[in-house]
Amino acid sequence: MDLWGFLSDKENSAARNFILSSVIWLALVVVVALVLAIKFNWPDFLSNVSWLSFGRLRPLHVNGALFGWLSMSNVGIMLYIVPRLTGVRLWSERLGNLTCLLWNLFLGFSAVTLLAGYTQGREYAEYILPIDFLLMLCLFLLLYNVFKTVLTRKEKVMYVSLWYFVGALVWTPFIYVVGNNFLMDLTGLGGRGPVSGINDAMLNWWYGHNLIAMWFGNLGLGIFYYFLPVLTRNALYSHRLSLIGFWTLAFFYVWNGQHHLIYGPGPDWLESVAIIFSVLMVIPVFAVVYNFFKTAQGKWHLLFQNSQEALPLKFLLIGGFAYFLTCMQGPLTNAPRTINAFFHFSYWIVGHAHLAFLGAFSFINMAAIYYVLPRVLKTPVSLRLANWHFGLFATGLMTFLGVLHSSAIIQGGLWTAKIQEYDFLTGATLWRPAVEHIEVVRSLQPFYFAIMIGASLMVVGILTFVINVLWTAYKAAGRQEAEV
Amino acid sequence: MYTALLLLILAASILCLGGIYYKRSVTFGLLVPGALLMIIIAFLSTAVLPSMEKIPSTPKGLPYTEKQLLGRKIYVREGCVYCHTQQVRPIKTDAGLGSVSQAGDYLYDYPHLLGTERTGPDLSHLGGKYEDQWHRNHLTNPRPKRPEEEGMPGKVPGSIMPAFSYLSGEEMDALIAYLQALR
Repeated sequence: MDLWGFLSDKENSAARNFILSSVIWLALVVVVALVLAIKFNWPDFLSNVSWLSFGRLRPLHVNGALFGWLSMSNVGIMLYIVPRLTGVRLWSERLGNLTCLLWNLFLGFSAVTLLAGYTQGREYAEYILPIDFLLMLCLFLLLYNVFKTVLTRKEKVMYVSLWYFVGALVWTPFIYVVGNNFLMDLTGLGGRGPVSGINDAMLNWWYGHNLIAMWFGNLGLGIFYYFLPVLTRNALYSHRLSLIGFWTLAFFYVWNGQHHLIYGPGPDWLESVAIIFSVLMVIPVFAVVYNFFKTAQGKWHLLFQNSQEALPLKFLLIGGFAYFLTCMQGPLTNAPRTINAFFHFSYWIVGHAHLAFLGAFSFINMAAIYYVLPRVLKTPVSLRLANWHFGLFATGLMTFLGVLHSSAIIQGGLWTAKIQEYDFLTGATLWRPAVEHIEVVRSLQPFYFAIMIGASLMVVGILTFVINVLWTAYKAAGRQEAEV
Repeated sequence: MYTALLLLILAASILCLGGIYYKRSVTFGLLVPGALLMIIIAFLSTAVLPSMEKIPSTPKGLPYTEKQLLGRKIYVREGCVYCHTQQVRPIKTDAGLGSVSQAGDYLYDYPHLLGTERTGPDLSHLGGKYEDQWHRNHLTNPRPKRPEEEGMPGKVPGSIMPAFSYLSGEEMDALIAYLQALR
């Protein structure tokens, strides 16, 4: 064993290592998530210890889910897909494995520093400078490896998945460097970035928003576009549509950042621009979604079939549908000013984020892992455990999202409820909140409890998935040794 | 500024339409520069252009003292920003929370702490609302734990804020100084 295969040169070993690492981080992240859900109900649970405080665990949960689970599984699946679409082996498996090792190192450091309280304090950009550099190194190694493979390809025509992968690798380093205050001090605490206040907020959300589509979204869509025809066994409905989807996404999405600060103290014209482009996002979304529904036509009955072949497709169908829902939320409920006024700052946004990352991209990646893993390890996964995973995860997710979104309506309603007062001395009309903020918190108690129930169902489901994957890898390792 | 913005939108539209109509736009040699150009245009128009606007100063936008800055670092370190916003919007939902936030209010904020979620109340105008002792009680543990704590200033039944009893005396003082500076 050379460092558990982290220096291996075998075909698909980098993909395997990325996928196995990602599920281990997933297990950690969902346990943290459950602790956070419990803290909403019993705030004194694991209290009075600095590194177990809510404010320290939350960035670990968000960043761990994004850069640990989703990024690593995305990259692992990409490293499996790229050789199949180019017709050549990955340029260097060894470099891929080194990247995986560095990526795990980066995540380990980031978890320790976030728990110790070292943070830049800007959402999605919490990592301090040394960790930012480590991630940049990983990204550039990955970029080099994938570009080398694509440039030496035997397949002349680049399939749509490859466009998304290349796009993601071009865009992400630029977005990351711009958004992460590379001029800050090393600890990040109270460090001075290049800009202050509202300009810093604009930069923060330009980064936070674009990272989501340009890294997670593009890799996710690349994976989606590869597995859609493979799993449904239908040809892709329209390549022209995917071309429209790709270039309009590249155009519209990157102008949307400011819709995170609607009615904020930033320039109004920028908000309007962001809202217009957010609504225009229906074009790339419909390009993808129409392709999805047309390609998946006639295969929806496989959702109810219990077989190894239908297993990944189930996850992909749910993921595709969740992608449709979350992408409709953006232009319809999040961006328009009047609706945003009601839902801004509420759990609607939390629900939207979870619908995208947990509903759409996690389901798509789980579908891909259930397809890739048995082929890479030459060992089937347990169908029984996978069915439990599907049932628990889907039920938990629906409970969780339903309750989060309805609690947002309570929040928005109570915040907007005002009492009108007339000042006889000055003749001014005043609005006073009808309920104190603490009343809003108290009225959300039952919702917090239901959210915790949904979260626990999901966590059990996800842990079943993790056990399934690791058990399959363990069986495969045992079998390999027996063969030697 | 608007001319520059329109020109940039025009450039991006041409790139986008060109990409769609020229079927071979997705060869490696065209994809990489095209993609880079798109994002640079968007960066110039939605991040660089707006930050060149002049921000008028406001009475709320004052530099922090040494102690308040330390308190601000603790606010950042403990992740207060995840549950508390620091912006009041000019709409009915935020009416009665205090004066509406202006860009100048945040002139000395490194990093910004505008916030995205209102699990706890907005803190833009917290300073001066309560005594220091109220904050000390509230931050040590926001809820009454023992019978004699019922009705004590700063002990709020039903609050779900974390307890920050692990802060040192100096850190607690600094944090309270910062919170009192939010006016």
